[in-house]
Amino acid sequence: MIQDIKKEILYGLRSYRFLILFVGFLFFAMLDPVMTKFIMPEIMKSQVPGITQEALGQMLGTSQLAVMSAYMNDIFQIGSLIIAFTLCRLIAQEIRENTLVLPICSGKQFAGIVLAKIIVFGTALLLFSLIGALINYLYSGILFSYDLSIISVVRSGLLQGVYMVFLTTLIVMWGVIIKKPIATGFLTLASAFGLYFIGGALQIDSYLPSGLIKEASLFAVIPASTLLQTLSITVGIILVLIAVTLIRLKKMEWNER
Amino acid sequence: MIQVTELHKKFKTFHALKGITMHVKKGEIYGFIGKNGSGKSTTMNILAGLSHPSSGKCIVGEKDVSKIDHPSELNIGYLPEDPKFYPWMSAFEILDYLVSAKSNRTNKGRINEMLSWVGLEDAAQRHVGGFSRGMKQRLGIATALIHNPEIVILDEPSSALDPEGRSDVLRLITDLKQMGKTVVFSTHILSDVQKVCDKVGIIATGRMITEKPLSELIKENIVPIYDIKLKLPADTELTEKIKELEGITRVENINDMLSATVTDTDKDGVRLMQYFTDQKLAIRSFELRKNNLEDIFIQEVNGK
Repeated sequence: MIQDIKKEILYGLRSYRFLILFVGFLFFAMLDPVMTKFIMPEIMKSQVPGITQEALGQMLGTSQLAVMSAYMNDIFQIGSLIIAFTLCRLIAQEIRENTLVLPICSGKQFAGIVLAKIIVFGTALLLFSLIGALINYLYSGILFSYDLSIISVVRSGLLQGVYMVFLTTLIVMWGVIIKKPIATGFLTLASAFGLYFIGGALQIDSYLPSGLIKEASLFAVIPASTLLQTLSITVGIILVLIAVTLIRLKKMEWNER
Repeated sequence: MIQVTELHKKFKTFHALKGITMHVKKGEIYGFIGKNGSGKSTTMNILAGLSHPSSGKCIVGEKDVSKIDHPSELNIGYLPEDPKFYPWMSAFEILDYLVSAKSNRTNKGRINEMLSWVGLEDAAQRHVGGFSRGMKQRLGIATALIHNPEIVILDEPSSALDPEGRSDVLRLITDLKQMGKTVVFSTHILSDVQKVCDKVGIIATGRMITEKPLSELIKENIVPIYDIKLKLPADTELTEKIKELEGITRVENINDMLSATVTDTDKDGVRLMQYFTDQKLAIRSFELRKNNLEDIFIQEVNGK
């Protein structure tokens, strides 16, 4: 298991996966405050001549909370896209290209292979979520004002991170089922966005992993009473996805041409 | 060591294996030969525990392949036809990663021993992405042997290689024989089988056509013709006289080479030799014509 984790870390570093993901978070963390503070007002002024500063403020939401909520939404919408297509090869490509054949024949266990991927990339995404939220907090604080408490920012970063672990597990499960990287990316996004919209439409967010994203974007001082329930359900779903992945791997025929 | 009985494999509508039966003894080098698409790799995948048989029995070592949960339970070494490695890892890192499957500690000694055996010690720290096909094949053999298994299954280990690469792989297979390993190796290059194998199985369209020790197969397919080259070219008179000898059924003289078809290769061979000695005819060469494995393979595949 330790060697499996070491191998995944090497993969993340040498294939620049970690760098791509980190830059993705960093990009939105730094760009969102700058966009809201400087670029968007200029665009609005050129589109709507004579618009007042007050009206601009109301339209763009020039507070730290508004900027950070926008960042959380960007990470969910565009960040999920980056994550799904950066990691879609994580296991699908290994199955498709038969790179898992030699490790399996050498005695590598399916659980070790799968868990190593989820632990390494899930942890990386959790850390990037936390770092991204903190950078966004710093930037938006400098450009606007420090309205939010650091604790709520850390909590939101961690909640987003837990959601990213769920997303990683989803990528691994679809990869094992579909075995095609691009299709894995699309199915992951369809599942993630599907759950988000179903949760919103039926108002059952607190029972779905997407509830973590909604809670994270609130940056509430006191978290919602249903947060523990959402977290427990998310962890439960992650375990179910891992179980489905392992069952599928066990039944799989290898080295197919 | 390996007992396969009436093995069938179906892929949806395609019936790939139609009752393969094969037996491999301990320490034997078994050549599994057949044309492309005959079912060699499907059989090898089942033997390695990577694919499940549709029906039939397949015992590898002492394990029934259809009853295992994980391929590694078979304790074999396996080299796929086109071994795929992580291109961003070095040869050393790959072996280290694979060694860790059965041992928690890095076994540098074993890894270096394997790299040296396959001639990759100088490329140990290079990323595999830059390796040639021959180097990948040799690394593949090292990965198959890393846990020192008793049974080694090699799927077309030499087929896509240049002559030098093929020669390297055959040298490694010969080493395995000396180590006492049981080796099953599939190929469509018959000269490779003739060089290293003890026993041969010929497969065509998913069926085992013949399975015999190589020496027996060649002996059974000896053509009863002596090719004789004399110092002086044989004339028609001599040809006619040989034809009249007991046991000689036919004589041809093509390009100064006499070809005498005999009834009994031993007795008639002696008789022919005696005749030339009596006639004081100097002989340049006197050879019993042998079919090579290629001829036998074509006969077997086309005949059945």
